[in-house]
Amino acid sequence: MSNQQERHILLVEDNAAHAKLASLALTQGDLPCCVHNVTTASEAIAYLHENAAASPPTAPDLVILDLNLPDDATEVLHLLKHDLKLITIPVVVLTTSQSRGDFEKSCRLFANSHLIKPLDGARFRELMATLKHYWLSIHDQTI
Amino acid sequence: MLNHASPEAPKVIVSTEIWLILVILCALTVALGAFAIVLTLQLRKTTQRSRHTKQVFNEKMNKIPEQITSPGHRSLPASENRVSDAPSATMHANAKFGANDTERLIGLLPAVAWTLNEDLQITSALGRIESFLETNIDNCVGSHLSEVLSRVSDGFLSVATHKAALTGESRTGVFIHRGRPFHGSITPLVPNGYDYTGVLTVVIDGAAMAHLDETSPRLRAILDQREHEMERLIHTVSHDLKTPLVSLSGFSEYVTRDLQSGRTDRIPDFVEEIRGAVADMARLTDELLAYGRIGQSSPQLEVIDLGKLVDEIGNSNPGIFNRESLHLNPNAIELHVIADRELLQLALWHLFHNATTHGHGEPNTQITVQASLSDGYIRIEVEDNGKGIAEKHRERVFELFSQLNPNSTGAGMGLAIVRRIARCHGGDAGVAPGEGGGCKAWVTLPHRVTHREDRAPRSELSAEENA
Repeated sequence: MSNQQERHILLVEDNAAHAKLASLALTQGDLPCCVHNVTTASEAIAYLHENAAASPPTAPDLVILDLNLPDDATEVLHLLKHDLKLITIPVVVLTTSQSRGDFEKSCRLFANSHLIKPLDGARFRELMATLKHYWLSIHDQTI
Repeated sequence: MLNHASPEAPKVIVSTEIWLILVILCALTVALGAFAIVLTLQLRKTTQRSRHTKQVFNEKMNKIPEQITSPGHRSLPASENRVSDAPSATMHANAKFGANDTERLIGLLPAVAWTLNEDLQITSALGRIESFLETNIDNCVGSHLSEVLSRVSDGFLSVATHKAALTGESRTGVFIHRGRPFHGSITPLVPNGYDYTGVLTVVIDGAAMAHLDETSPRLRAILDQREHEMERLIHTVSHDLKTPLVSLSGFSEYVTRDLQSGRTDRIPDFVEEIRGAVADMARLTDELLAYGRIGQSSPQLEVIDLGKLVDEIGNSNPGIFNRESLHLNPNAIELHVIADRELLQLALWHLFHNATTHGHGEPNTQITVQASLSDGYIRIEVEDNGKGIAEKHRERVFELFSQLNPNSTGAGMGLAIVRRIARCHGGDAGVAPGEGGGCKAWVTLPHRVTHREDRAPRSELSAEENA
């Protein structure tokens, strides 16, 4: 797979401002990618099922998941880590919570990474760039 | 290596006004960040105080039964009967009552306590034993002891015993007043070396304390619940105040970068986002302050005509919900409740607002208000014709800043405020599925007996109240 092929990120984030900030950061840089934003866990699950059922199946290259959604965000994690058609998609939990309990919850449900949104705008942008670079460029999904 | 600017390079000129806006935004971000930190620290301090109160309470509760149940005699001198070291030891340390653990402890126990000066005038008083003194304890301060004790028949609590205490003689004992056993302790303050000269009197309702096994777990459960609520509050507040700060900081960063690169087309959009984040922060802070104010003082109870109150709310908020969509069942119209008018109005406003927001949507929103009496509680139900709330979310909607609808413009505090108001009246709040598939939010309030003319019709009073 060419690195220059457009990558697809599913951003599950209910806060419109945070979704906009993340999208701005993720769509910058050399690696082209498009960001699809949904605001609830149920929308995310419907979107993943719909893409998995498509012919040929399409799936996002990366899921970025906010834990504090109007409904239960852990249902998205559970689906992604228990459905064999979706299990290879990396899931990065991105939250403002600094709770140890939330971190353990992410680990228990096999999230690939758990990141806390930095308060500093520059660090937030850098974090987005780094996670995009790692999961879409370094992490090999072509095997 | 290029070590000087090319003459062809475009030169970016940024107006002073834009830099000024940028500086103001940065200052605003820093100020709001500092505010969030201070608020979080303050909440942590409050939790520590709550934990300490619970610890003191547990220690005292473990000691008190021995004093209440041990001697079967009355009015023994201190030399023969150990002076109660449970409440009075704490009292000694706080001879003039104030906002401290003593006050909280006495507030939880079936007890009254007062301090006297050398002229036998009551200098401070607190506690509650219904009808023990036949007057509000707050009214006793400033009165002479003889006036206060004129309604108490037992000789143990006499002016003479208090005078004896002024000379250093402690007295404790169990006595009967109006057919109920009480535990009394009269302790001089001088011999213990305190700078306050006078007498400390503590009276505990022995009959109520005899049920300690039943009441103690209930009181402990209340304190546990308060501690748990406080911890959740800290977690939620620190999380939700951080959310607009991330937006503020993030968009300020983009404004800075765009200004530096000379790109100005996105700046109005980013500034709008910053204004939105500031508005979010202001709304969160306002709602949080409103939430914090509930329960800080006792509800100002009065008889309220529920039907009229619903009418008032409907008519005074035409822009928020349509009065025509509010339907009252006949019982609700006739029923009177005893509650704090301002708080009940606020709770109902939030219930109606929620029903309107999450109902079927204008112009088809229908809100039904019902009220009934059951098990000594008045239950007010507000049902909408919306989609309802899934069972797994029915408890979560009462958490602070909880939002089930991502498009909601509220702060997610409405139902948390409703529950807090209900609980500070001694009731509760919840949500259940509505009969038409919508959501039925309910509030219960204890049905207090009123002797006013405008009380509820007899037919609606509970059997025990009629008795």
